[in-house]
Amino acid sequence: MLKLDHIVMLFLLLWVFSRCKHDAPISSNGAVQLESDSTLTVGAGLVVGIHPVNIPLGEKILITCQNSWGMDVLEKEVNGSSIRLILSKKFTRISGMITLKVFYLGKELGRKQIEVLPKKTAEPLDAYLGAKSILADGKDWAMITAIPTDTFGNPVENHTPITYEILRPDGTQYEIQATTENLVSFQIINSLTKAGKTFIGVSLNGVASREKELLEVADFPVNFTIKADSHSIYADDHQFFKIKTSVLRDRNNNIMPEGTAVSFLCKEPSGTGRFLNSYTIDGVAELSMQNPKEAGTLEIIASVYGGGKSNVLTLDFASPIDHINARYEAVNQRLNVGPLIAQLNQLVPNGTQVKLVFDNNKLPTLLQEVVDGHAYFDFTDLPKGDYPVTIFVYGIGKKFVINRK
Amino acid sequence: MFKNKKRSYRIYLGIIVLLIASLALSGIGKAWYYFNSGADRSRALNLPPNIPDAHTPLIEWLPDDPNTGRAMEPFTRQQIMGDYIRGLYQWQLSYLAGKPVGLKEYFTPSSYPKALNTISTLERKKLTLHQTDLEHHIQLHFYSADGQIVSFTDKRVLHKQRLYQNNTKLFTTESIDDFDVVMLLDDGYWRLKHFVKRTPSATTSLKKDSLLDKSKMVSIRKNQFWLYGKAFQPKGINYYPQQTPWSFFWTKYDSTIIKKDFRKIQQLGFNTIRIFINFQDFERGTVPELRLLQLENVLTNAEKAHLKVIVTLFDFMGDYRLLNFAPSDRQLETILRRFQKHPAILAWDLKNEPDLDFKHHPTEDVKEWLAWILPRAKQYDPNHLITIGWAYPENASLFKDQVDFVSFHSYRSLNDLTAGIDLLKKQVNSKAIVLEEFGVSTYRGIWAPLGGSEEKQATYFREVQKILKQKGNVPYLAWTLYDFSDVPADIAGKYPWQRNPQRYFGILKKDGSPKKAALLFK
Repeated sequence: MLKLDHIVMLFLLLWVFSRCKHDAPISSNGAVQLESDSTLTVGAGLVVGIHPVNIPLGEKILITCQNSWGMDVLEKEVNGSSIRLILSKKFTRISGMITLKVFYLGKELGRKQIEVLPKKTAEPLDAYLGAKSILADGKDWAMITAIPTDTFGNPVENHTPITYEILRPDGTQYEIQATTENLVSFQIINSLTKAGKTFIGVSLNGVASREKELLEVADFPVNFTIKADSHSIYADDHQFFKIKTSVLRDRNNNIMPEGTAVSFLCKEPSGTGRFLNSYTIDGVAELSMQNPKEAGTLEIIASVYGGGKSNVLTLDFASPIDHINARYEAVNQRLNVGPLIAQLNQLVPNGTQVKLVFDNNKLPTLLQEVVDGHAYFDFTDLPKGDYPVTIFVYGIGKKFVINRK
Repeated sequence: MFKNKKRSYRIYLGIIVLLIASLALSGIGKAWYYFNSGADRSRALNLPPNIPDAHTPLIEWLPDDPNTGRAMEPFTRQQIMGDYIRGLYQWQLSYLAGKPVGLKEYFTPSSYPKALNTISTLERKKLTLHQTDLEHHIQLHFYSADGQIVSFTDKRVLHKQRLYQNNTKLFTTESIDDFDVVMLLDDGYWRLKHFVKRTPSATTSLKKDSLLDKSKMVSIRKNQFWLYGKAFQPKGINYYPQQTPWSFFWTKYDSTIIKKDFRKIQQLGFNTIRIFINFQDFERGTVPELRLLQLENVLTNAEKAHLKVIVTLFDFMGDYRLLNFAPSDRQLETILRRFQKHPAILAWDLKNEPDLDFKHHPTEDVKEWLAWILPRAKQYDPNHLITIGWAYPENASLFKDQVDFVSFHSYRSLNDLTAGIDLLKKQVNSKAIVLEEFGVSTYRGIWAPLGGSEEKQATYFREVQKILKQKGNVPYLAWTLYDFSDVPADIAGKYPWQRNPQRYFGILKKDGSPKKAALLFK
C-alpha cells in the first residue's frame, strides 16, 4: 500500500530531478569558419559559407549581420559540414562594413567582416550653398557643398571626382575639379569686386545638381552727395520739395542694392532736429519735405548705417510776408488779422497759422488758421480792459493793443 | 502499527503548527514594515521603468583635419555632440521598446527609414536588442561656412550588445568600429544624414594618465602593503558619520563632524578608513562639482589625521543593464581622474559586495560590468590600488588577476572566517588579502532577546584579530565606528528583526562613548 510519506518522498525526488535538469551546465567547444567575398557592391547578393566544427547535427546557430544601420539575426540548423547563408539584397543595400558573427549557446564562435561598396552617383545630387549672399568686397566668401549618393542613398566612395562650374557677376566662367572626401566635397567661392549674381552647377558622372545662385552685393557705400530739387525759397509751411542723393556706390563702384536705408537728419530754422528715412531705388534715395514754417536756414545731412555720409545741404527760406495787417472790431469783439498778403501780392494760403501771444503772459496763447486771407480771434468772453498782444505769422511778429470796452 | 500512525500524525501536526506560526510571524513583520516605510514613488505615480535620463559615453575630440572649411566654435561642438549622442540613445531606447521612441528629430527624412527598418526587423522576429555605445573619438573633417553641415569620423566606437528572446539572453557581444558621419542642422536639430560603418582605425585616446612616483602612494610588494619605503599594515574601520549614515553622508555633508571623527578614529588606533560613494548621490554620469569638493574635503581631512582611505565606488548601484554602463564609466572617470594623485587614497574599491547582486541580477551581467569597469579604473588612475569588496570569501577570487589585492567581508562564524581565509589563500596564491568588513551587533531587545552584548562584541573582535594574525597578519577594517539611530530598509532588510541589530554594530555608542571593543585597536 502506498503511504502518505512515500508520496511526499516521491514528489521531493521528482522536484530534485527537475531542478537538476534546469541547472545542468551547457557547454560548447564548437567553432566555425566563415567563407565569403571580402567586398561586394551594394544591392548584390551575398553568399556566406559557414563551416561548423564540433557542433552536433540538428543544433541551431545564430548568425548576426551588423551593418551601418543596425542588425539582422538569422537562425540556421547545423545539418552537415557546411551551411550556406544567403544575405538578402535588401540587407546589402547599405554601404559600409558588414560584420557577421556566429553564436552557439550564447558563445561567439567566429566573425567575418565584409565591405559593401557604394554604387556610382545617382540623382538627385544634393548640393548646398551657404551663405546665400555675400559682399562684393573681394574678401567675403561662401561655400558650395555636395553630398553625392548612389541609387540607394549611400554616400559615394571617397575620392570620387566632382566638377563645379561657376559663372561670376563679371561674366567670367570657370570650372573646378575636386573630389569627395569623408562623404562630402566642398569649394570656397571668394567674392569679386563686382556685385551681381554668381551661378553654380555641380556635376559628376553625368549627374547634375540644381542650379545654385549666390548673390554678391555691394559693400557699404562710400560718401555721397545730396541736393534739393525745385524748392521754393519761402518758408510757407505749405509747399513740398525733394532731397535726392547721388547714386550710392561702394568703393568698387557697385551700386547699392535696392532698399538700402538712408537716414536724413534735418535741422530746422527753429533749431529742432528730426530723422527722416528713405530707401534707395537704383542706388538713389529720395525724400519729400515740407517748407519750414519759419524763415531761416534748413540744414540736412544723410548717412547710411555703417557706411558713408553726405555733404551738409543748407537751404535758406525767406518769410513770404513783410508786414501784418490787424484791426480790432469792437462790434464783433474780435481781432481781424488780415488781409495777409504774400510775396506775389497774393493772399497767404488757407490754413496758414496765426499765433497770438498776450504780452503779460497771464492768458494762454491763441492759434487760428487763415481763411481767405483773414484770421479772427474772438474776445467776447474777455473782461473789459486793454490787452497788449503780439501777433506772429511765418515768424514775423507785430505788436498790437486790444481795447476791450 | 497504531503507535506508528499516531507518531506520524504528531509529526504532521507539528509541521502544520510550525508553518502557521512562521506565516503569522511573517505577516506581523510585513505589517510592521508597511506602517514604518514610505510610499514607493514609482508605484504610486505609475512611473515607467527606471531608464537613465542622460546618456554619458566617453567623448573625445581628436585634432581636426587641417582644412575643415571653417573653424568650429566650442559651443557648436557641444550642440553637435549633444544631438548625435542623444540620437544614438533614442535609437537604443527604440530597440528596447521595439518601436521608434523620439527618434524622428535626430534623423533626416532620407535616413530615418533606415534607422526604423532595423528596429522593425528585430521586432518582427520577437528579438529585443539591448545596446549601448560607450566610447567616441571624434575627428572633424568638415564644417560648412553657414554652419549647417558637418562631416566627421567617429573613431573606435565601442558598442556592447545583448540580444534577448522572450527575456532569455541569447548572447552578449562587443564591437569596435569607425563610423563616417554627416549631419545637417535642420529646424534646430543636428540630424544624422549618413552613418557608414568602417574598419576601426588604430587611433588611440589622446588622454594619457601620468604615472606618479608610487612611493607616495600605498603599494603592494610580495603580499605586503608598503608606504614611504616601509611595510604598512592597514588597520581600519568602515566609516559613516553617526547622524548622517549611508545616503545622508553626502546630502547632509558636514566637514566639522568629519574632522572630529577622523581625529577620534586616529586616537582609537586605526590608520585606515573605508568610505562609500553612493552612485545616485553622485548623480550617475554627471557628477556635480559639489560632490567632488566634498570628497576632496574628506580626503584632505583624512590626510591631516594620518589616515589612509579606501574609497568604495558605485554603492547602491544595482543596475547592470547596458544602459547603465556609460553613466558608471563617466562617474568612474570623473572621480578617478580628479583624485588620481591624492596621497590619502589607499585604494579604490570598485563595488561593495557585488556577489550579493548575484541573487537579484544575472550573474553574468554583474561579472560583465565588473570586467568592463576594472580596466577602465586602471586606465583612469594608474597610481592607486584597486580592489573589489566581495561579501563572501568563496567569490573573492573572481577577477583576482585584475585587482591589486583581494577583499572580502565576513559576518559568519569564526570557523567560517578561518575556512574562508584558507580557501581564499589557496585560490589567490600570493595575492594580498584584506578583511574589509567584519563585526557583530551588540543589540539585545524584543527582536533578539538573546542577542549581542558589548562583552560578546569585544570577544568577537579579539578572536578575529587572533585569527587574522595567525593567517599572516591579514589587514582588516571593522564594521563600523558608530551605532546608528536608524538603518534604511535596503541596507539590512525590511523586517524589524533585520534592521534593529544592524543599528548596533558600532564600536562607539550613539553618544560617541566607547564600547569595550573600542579599546582593542591601539
